[in-house]
Amino acid sequence: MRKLLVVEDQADIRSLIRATLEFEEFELHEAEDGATGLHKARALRPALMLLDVMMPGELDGIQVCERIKADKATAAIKVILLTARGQKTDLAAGKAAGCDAYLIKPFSPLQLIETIEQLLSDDSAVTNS
Amino acid sequence: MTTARGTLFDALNDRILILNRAGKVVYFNAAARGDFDGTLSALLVHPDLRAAITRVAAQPGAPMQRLKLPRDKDTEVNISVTTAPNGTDVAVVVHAAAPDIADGAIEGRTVAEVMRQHLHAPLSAFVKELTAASALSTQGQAVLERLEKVMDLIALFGSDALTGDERLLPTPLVEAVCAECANDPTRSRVVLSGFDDTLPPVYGAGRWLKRALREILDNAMGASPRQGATVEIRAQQSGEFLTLRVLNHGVMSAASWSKSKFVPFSAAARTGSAATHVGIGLPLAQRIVELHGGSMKVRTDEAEGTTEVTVQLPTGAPRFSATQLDAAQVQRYAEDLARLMARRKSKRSETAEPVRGEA
Repeated sequence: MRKLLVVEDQADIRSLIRATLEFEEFELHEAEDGATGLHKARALRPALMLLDVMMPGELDGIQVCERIKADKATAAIKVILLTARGQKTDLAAGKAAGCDAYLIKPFSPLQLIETIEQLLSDDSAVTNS
Repeated sequence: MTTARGTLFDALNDRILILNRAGKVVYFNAAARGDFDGTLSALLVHPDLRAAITRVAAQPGAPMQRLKLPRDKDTEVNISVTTAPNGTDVAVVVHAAAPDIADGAIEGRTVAEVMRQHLHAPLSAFVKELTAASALSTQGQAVLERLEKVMDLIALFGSDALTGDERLLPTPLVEAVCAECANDPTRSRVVLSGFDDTLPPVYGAGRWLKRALREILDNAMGASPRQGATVEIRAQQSGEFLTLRVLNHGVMSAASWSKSKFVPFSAAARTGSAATHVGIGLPLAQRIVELHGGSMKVRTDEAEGTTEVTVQLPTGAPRFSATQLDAAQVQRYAEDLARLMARRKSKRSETAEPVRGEA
């Protein structure tokens, strides 16, 4: 079962994501801030991370993404950024940080599942080829 | 009158009276009860109101009658007369007057709100006119600068003034402010240290944070008494805070700082003297920093002849309360719930099929 790490400071949003993915075949892990999320990503090496951009504390989502993608050991982790803001500058910052996809809140649970499946199937295709 | 309806009527500020078809009062709500010795008794005998009551009593279900009658020699009161909820009696509603600032009724509004409402728009228009003027004297320019600061102070009153959620990287933010200040070659040189790409972002209103930094930098540069003096800005991350230190290497009177710092409108005119240079700017900067969840301190060292302004801003986005969930996100989930359930059902069926095949 593939590991999926949800890094989101709002507990209720984490619950909604958990409810969305509970029937999918993932081993779900959670973190409520960027620093913990980065630590867990390095320790767990999940196949995919759902990463909130606007988080309080030392690291926000963009910074975590930058560090994940800059580290060879974790660069293969697929990262989906979740954010309430859809401004061009934010999308550009996410792209510059190396994210694989970007979902703007309020996001659709089906869109979330489809994006995850798309990214992981791409990953499988590369891995299998 | 049912208890529920009576409770509802008692909760209203409007005076409500129910009269039977003979014109006798059979019910009045709490607001009317307190007014029988005043306006209400005089109104009830007013011929126009009596005529309206008679018309509605004669024809239950008739269109609502609306009247405007004198409450006293200066003001009027709006009255509606209609068929009562029981379908036969007559209801008279004497509408409560709307809150009026002229009456001194500013309950529920803060002084800041009143200032914003009454001063901000005309002041903004005036500042625009001044800005558009082709040539302003030095004194005119000074007045314009102060008016802009007063406008900003008014805009920043109240704790809800800043709702910006821009992601702001410290290095470009400070560099942009320095660039604005670099136009005057006679002023101090600014030296940056500790600024690099690893500094964490802060979230807030970019325009306001730039304004705060500009005020601090302006004060520090203005305090340096000679050409070629330097102002140093140091950046450092301290846990979940970004610390910016603006160090003025020029001479500034510690006494003038301690007496006037953070006291709005305390400044004397800009005379070029370092000791009189603290005014609206630093209180404005402090207010902006605090509205971003940060703090600002000033420390002077007379022996060294330095003044240091330290700004601490929380890194990352503002914290959400545990119970705060975006209503739009819930709504989006609710909309997709049926499709999500259908997907799950479909997945379950797919999983179950091989089992049936084996059986």
